[in-house]
Amino acid sequence: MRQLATEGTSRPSRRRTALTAVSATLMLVLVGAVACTQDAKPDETVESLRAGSPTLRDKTRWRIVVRHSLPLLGEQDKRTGEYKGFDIEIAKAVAAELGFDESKIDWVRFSTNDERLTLLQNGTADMTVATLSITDEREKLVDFAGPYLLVPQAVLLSKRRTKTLDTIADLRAKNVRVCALIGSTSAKALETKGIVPEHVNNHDKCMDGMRSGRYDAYSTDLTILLGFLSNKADFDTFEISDLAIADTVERIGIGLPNNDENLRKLVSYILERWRTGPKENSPWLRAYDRTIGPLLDLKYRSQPLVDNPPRLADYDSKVPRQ
Amino acid sequence: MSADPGHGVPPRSGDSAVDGDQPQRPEDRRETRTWSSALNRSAESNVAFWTLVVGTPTAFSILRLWVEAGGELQTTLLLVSNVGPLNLVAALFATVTKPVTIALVALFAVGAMLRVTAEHAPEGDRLREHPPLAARIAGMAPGWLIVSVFFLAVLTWEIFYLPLLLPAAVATLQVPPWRMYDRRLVTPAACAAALALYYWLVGPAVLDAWQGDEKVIAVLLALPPLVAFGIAGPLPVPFARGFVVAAQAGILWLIIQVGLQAVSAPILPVVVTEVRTAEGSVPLRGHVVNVNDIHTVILQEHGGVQYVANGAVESMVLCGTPQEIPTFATRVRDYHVEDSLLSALGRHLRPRMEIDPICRVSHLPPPRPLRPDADASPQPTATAPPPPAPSAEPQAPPSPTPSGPSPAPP
Repeated sequence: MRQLATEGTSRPSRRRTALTAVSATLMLVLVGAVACTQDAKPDETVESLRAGSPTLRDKTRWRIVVRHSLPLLGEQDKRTGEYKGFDIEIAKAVAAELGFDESKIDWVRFSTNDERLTLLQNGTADMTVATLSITDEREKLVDFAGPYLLVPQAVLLSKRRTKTLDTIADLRAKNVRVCALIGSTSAKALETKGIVPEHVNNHDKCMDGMRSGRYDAYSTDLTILLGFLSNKADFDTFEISDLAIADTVERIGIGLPNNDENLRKLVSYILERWRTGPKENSPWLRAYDRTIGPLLDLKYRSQPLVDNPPRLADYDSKVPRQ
Repeated sequence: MSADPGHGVPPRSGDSAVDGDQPQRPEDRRETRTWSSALNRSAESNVAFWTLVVGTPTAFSILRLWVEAGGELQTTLLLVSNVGPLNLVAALFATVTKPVTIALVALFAVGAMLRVTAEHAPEGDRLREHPPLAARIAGMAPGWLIVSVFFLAVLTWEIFYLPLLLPAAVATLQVPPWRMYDRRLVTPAACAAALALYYWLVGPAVLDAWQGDEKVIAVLLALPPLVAFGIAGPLPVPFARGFVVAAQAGILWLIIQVGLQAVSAPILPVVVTEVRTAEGSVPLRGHVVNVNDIHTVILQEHGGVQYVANGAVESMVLCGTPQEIPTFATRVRDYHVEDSLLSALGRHLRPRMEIDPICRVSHLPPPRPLRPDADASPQPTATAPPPPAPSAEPQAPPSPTPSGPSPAPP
């Protein structure tokens, strides 16, 4: 130790002191960097988007356009008045994340498919969760978050007709009457295949027409048809054909008022968080398993990729991912 | 502790290196006298020290109650009468430990660097004759205090601060990592292995941070261990003169920040209380000061105190504050860089976090005056003292609409 003390007073080399000076300067720079991080704010947070959204700002209740007569998707219980179905569960979960629990939701009904958009455009509703496909034309009228579901188009046939209507060419026959909704993706897909559908303005008309024998086939989203088949009588009478009337799947999204980018980002963030978060906590999976899941093929049991999800910070951003 | 023979770091007074039988040089004797007298002074002021240890938190606790009450005397007195002293000190410890340890670690590191620089300054140099204040204070710090402060820092600092503790520890000890032990081959090998282990641990996070445009985090994770290798030893005297000013000013700024944080950090948690009123359910965001048989006393976030009859309270939810939302997204092995080790361990213990919807919408100021539902609250509601005028006209909540079918628009 004595030797150390003697050596301790020896003058260090110039190079060594220069290295210490450089290190000390670097240390000061690093401490300065830490000080700068103290005042840093996250670029975008859930709260900042909420504050910047004209639709959300100062809202105490949330108005959602939903279907009320589609089994498994959006249906109102005639006895209790309660809404249930996959879309309803998704709507409730999104609304809860936006700050509105079930008691603060106003369900908005519509009579024609176009009203799903016009109710958003004229400010009567704040959000649409009603099997609304994301299309280029609709993107011009409203904003979309999602998709939250990918579904193929399908054709419902009477069990008595499945053998006589087993090709696309069979559906083109003049004596075959096919029902589809006005402006729907199914209607367009049928037309591209040379099938001329009869247009109606809601699903119930198609389904009633099928039951009465007015229509031979009814084309729409697979999930909607599955919903109707949840009725025992319809299940015994009809079945879904394997005919591929569209080459692409429908991208079902959440409709939002146009030009509210903050709200679109928020809802996209919510959907993406469900998709990437732990499966056991996913409201999407919970809704799926409770409603349409048991009737659909296992390949549909995964939430689709969300378009352009933002990276946002929130109160739970530090929660472990694994 | 051994000194670095290559860099000439003298031991402190009391070390065995200066107690040997070799006659001391005059400057060593003078130095020994200086440090001994400092220690004597320290012992004499022991009582004053402990008075400060007990008195300072108490004084800060009172001051922070004053701030928490929004500057209102009556509200301050209400808080004083309802917040237990033990809770107050515990809350102070929980919120101020980090800034205090930051200031102390900075003081120890800078002080040790300046001390060794002063000791190596030429004879007659002002730096040698009058060592900087930080060097003298750091020199008086007992070993147990230094170890305790570093230990608390490891537990309470944000993870992205932690790498800075390496150069800070080396600067405080004034021993380069590869000279920790005399076995010259083993220690450098251990240093290389430790460095490799460190970069294996944080490497993916550094890459993520760099690619995720969080470059400051990448630098703060990657660079400090390298700085640790060069920071021990005296500074060049001309450089040290500037360093003394910058470093001591920095420490002073840190101490001021500690003081500010000590008086402004919250004491009570933020709770949103749903109150049933004649107009419907209204969320009140604030701190529950007291719950007695009749009232729940809420110090509102926007200011003012509400006495809400217990019968009108529908629910209470614990909510976060925007200050808790992290700035960065980088994680080190799934530990968020803005968490302390303690917080991160806690999060892994209870990983689920529910954000109640009411926390999202409760930022709106409540309607005034708040009129709890007459049926639910036989006791009149008092508002004391009158809260300050809101910045925006408060909106009365719309009349409650039952969940059910809305009429279809035309």
